[in-house]
Amino acid sequence: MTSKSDGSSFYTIGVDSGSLTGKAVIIDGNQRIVSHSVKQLGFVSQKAVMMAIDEALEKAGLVLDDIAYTVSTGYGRKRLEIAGKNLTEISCHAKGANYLYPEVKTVIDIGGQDSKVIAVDPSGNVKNFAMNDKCAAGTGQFLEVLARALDVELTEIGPLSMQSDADIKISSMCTTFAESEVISLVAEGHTTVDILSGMHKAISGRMKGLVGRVGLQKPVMMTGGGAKNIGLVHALEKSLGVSIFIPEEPQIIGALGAALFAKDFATGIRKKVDEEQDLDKSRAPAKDCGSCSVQNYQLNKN
Amino acid sequence: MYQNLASDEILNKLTQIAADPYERAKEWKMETGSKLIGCYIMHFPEELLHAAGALPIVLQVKEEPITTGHAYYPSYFCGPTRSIVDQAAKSELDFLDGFVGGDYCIQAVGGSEVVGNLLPKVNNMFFRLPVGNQAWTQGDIVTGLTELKRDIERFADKEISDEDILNSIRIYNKNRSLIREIYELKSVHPSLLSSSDMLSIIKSSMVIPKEEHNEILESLIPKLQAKKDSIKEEGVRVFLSGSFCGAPKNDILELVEQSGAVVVGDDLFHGYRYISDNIAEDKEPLAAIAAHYIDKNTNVPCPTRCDPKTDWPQYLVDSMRKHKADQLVIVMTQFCEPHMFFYPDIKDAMQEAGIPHLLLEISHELDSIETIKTRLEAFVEMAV
Repeated sequence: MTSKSDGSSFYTIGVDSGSLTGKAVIIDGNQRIVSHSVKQLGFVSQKAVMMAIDEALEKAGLVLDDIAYTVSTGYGRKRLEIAGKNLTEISCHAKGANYLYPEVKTVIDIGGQDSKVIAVDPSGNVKNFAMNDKCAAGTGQFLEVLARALDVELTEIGPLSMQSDADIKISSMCTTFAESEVISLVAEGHTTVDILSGMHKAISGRMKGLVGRVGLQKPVMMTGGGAKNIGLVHALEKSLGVSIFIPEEPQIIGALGAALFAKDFATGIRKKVDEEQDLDKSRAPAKDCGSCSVQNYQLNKN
Repeated sequence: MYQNLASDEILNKLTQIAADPYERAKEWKMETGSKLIGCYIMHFPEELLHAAGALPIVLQVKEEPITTGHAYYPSYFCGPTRSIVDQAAKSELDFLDGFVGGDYCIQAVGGSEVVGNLLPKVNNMFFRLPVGNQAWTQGDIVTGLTELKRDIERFADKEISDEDILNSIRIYNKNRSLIREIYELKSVHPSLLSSSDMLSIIKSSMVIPKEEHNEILESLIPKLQAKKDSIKEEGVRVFLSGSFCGAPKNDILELVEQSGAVVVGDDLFHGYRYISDNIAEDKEPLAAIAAHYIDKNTNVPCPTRCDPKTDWPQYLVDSMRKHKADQLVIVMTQFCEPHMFFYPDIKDAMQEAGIPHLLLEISHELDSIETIKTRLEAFVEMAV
């Protein structure tokens, strides 16, 4: 790889090893997104993560050796051997959201296994956060279980729920109990459309509590797979009384943040892993471009 | 016996004692033929029980899931009280000769009652500890102590003299002083000992004869002194607060440090709270113990004491500054009503002081360690 002064041949990758999906984002030295990929195979699947990395590299026309630095995030963040550093998805979502929308102050991330509300400062740093801490109720996994109970494709539950005018209340927010509650509602003759709408209202009610712990500050962005569910976004907007900004590809925001951190590490804006406390001693050594001129690359923000 | 051991070996020994907290006490009973008294969490006059020739041990939370105990105590009560009920229900506390319950919080009162009923062969006693800090409070505490002394004398078939109590106070004061010495060392060199090490030091002190523990600490301290300057200090400085009756889970403590933090101070029951203050040795013993309950609450306020003259949130702000701590991690036992009652005030005080804090509400059985890890790491990342 040769280094160009415009940074277009300097690449970092962010990898988000989530509970249900693997995501990878490659950016260049100008912080432009070069490629991204989302793959789903199973719980914290290393295979999905590797497939996402391979696809992102392929789309960008790159190989792993072209990558100056890798940062991993998500549930499986410590298991990715090529990562020089791992950071939590909370820090990465804040960073990624700030990149796409620098004015954003609150990020709501509904992922596969957990949901988070993050207060972000103007530099993309985490000011405060709250996270569901007891179970997966109100998360992607919860939606998947209930969609299965209703025999509806996950991608359909959002648009379908928007057709409802009914006010069905789903009281339980435990995934197992909610599933039996949904089955009871079906038995009582309520339509799938109305039950889906009730489900989204229940989740948005729960998220409102989480938002309250951090404090709602506009503008608000929603990230994670949950943001692809228009019914949930609509219910949440109604419950919070705000408009919510949805990125074009909400699932990659964590990986995007990780890629931006990777660029910071590679260019020395942040300390590299060997200068910090390495949290996972079993991990492979950090891969960086210390032996080439890219190390001295000056970021051209424009 | 411990003088020839390295500090790590001594700490390993204390960790073993803490991991199997009743074993040494059972051995002691076999060796001496004397009586063992289990103290239910959390404010008990160990010195008074010791003065009767018995060994008081603080009953400990076991991390194993509660099973038999479910039949006797509801699952919406706190883990520490339920765990001890569970141990009693499984006959694991039958080795005790005596049991002292208390009225420190509503769950402890109920738990004391249940444990008492589950241990029919054990002599049950109760320590009534009046709350508050009014002009009459100290006198009321002396009355509670006098009632307990009467019951212990009957239990031990021995009259307890002032000299007996004073001797016990001296032994217990020595233990507190030695542990405070370790705290002072850790405050300056936080990486010298992990928070799990500190937990083992305090927990072992609660369950073996204090005389023996003093001996161990006297061997340990010079070795820590010798080692302190070679320890590399790094990490975000964190103060730990909460868990004021049961020991926090070791896994959680380890996660704090694995997240890149060092613990520079704490107000845990299995921590500084247990040893923060000595009992006066130049006063009438029961009055001195009563005064101690009020004084130690000034040193480290306890939300169960309902003392209008103390301010736990402000104490935390002051402690953070004293220890130059960057962040506060609050470990709250799920369903701990006194802690839940104070948390909003603590949150406000931290926000006003500009101190970031993370609340971890820990349940006895059901916690996603992965989620707690993510929250702790994200919290530490905020300070990096």
